[in-house]
Amino acid sequence: MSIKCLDLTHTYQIKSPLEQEALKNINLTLEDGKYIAIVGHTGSGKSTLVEHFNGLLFPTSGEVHIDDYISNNKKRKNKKELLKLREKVGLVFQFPEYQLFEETVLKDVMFGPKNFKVDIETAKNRAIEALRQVGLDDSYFERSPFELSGGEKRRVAIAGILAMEPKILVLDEPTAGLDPLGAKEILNLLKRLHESGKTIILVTHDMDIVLNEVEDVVLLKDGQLIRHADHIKIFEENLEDLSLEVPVSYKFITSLNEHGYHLDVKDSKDVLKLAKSIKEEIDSWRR
Amino acid sequence: MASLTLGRYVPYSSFVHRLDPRQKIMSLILLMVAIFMPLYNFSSTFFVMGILFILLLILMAFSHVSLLSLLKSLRAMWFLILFLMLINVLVPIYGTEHIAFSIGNFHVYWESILQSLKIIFRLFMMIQVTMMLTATTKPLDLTYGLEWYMSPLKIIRFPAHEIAMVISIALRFIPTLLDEANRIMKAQASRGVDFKHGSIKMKFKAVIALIIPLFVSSFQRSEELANAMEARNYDPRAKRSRYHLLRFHFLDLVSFLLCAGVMSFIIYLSVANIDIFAQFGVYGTW
Ligand SMILES: Nc1ncnc2c1ncn2[C@@H]1O[C@H](COP(=O)(O)OP(=O)(O)O)[C@@H](O)[C@H]1O
Ligand SMILES: [Mg+2]
Repeated sequence: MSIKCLDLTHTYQIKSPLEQEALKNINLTLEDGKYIAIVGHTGSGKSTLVEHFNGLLFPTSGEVHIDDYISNNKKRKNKKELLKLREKVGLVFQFPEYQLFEETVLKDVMFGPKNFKVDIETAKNRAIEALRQVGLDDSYFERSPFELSGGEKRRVAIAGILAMEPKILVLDEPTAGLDPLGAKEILNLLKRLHESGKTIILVTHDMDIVLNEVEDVVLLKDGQLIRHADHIKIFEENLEDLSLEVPVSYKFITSLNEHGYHLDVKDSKDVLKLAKSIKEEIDSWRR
Repeated sequence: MASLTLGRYVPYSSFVHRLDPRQKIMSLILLMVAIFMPLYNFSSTFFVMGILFILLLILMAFSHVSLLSLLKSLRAMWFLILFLMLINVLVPIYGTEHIAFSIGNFHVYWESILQSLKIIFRLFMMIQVTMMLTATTKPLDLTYGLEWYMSPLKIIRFPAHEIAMVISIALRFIPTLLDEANRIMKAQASRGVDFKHGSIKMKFKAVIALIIPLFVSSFQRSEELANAMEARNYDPRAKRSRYHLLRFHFLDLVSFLLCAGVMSFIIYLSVANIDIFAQFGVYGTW
């Protein structure tokens, strides 16, 4: 189950004065089972790209292959196939808390599976499991989603997609606007999901997440693909030119290395580990 | 959604765009009056309206108002057109001399058909001139213009400024709400909602899934906006200056005089009951 973009181009409001080319000739293959980040400055086309993955948008030209589903601008959309695609690729929108509408949290999470013709009993079981996965216990099930805090709402919304049991989970800036602890919880959840075998595609412009969480990175700028590489190699690019902030820990290690250290960037994930490897390096000099 | 974009402001910098909104509102009213003036007979009406229509088309081309979206308005009116045709054919009131065709004992008169065509043409031109105004004038300028016309009423404590403010806020949020609706629709589509197909029951559920989040976020937005305005000490009664001053230019005078001239001429034709074709020596037209 991989996603392939072939010369994918998307133009918004084509043939109008407000025409805007949001994606330009993207060629890209996202492999199965990976944890992938899509990064870029605001307006670089990240959301536009991921909305092609579950058939919300269709290419203006070029193609997107999602498994055996081919999305282009010609084919008449078969609504059954499209529904199947949306079940396979779960997309969590940016600020997904705005999509809640049911009376109770449980009902809202069941909404997705029910739309995909899952029977009520199974939908309920899936919803309960998804809510537990995002760390919301029984006491939340019968509450109204509108009385929850922002972070809790977001977790309900994510559970709403998880309950659809998608093979690929796409999240558009899931940590935006959350407090650091709430963000950490969501990232931990994603890590667990990835370890259990799900493909995770995460849209973000937080380079700390890129450094510490993901495997592969797709770097976009002004609708063009700059690079698709390993999450460490991506830092070879001049990120500041792309209006992205290089993490402090990464700067710290590279500047130590410029001064003669031999530290591994992979150690920057954890301050404790980093301190230890610095200590080891100094010890090795003393010897 | 297409019908909502009808007559939306389209940014260009043609001379029509740059005209004073107050003057454009006045010209719209003048032209509306001209369009609805009853003339001597069908041929006079169609002749005069036709000329006005062509002039407006040329103006549309100059100001980049899309002809396509004007034609789309016809599609939105199809029911009205059908209805008018039917009423006029079934209940002929306006002169019944020329039979177009008969179905058994029932006669369909040319007058009935022409009468409904006349009404449709007028409605169509009404949409045309309104679109000319809304497509070339920023909504905010439009409300400034309206406020200016309402301001004499301030003397009798008519809340002209408040009304203008409410209108301009509402206009300001139309695109925002459209974007928001679009986003929610996409989010719900990701959860398997099909907004286009499905049974009545499913459509109902789909609409609920759109409307409720839209309401929640609109209430939130309006509260935030009200708070932000209050935090800045907004007082509708305060005397305020304006960043963009409305100015009446020479071009405004010219276009006002043109519109007034067109209206006066058509009123003259109407009041004097002039048969245009008779002026050219062609008599006996319908
Ligand atoms: N519905 C739309 N209509 C017109 N232009 C759009 C629309 N959505 C996005 N854009 C434009 O497309 C570009 C890419 O947007 P987007 O994919 O949302 O970027 P990102 O998610 O990286 O911030 C931006 O320049 C944006 O203004
Ligand atoms: Mg985005």
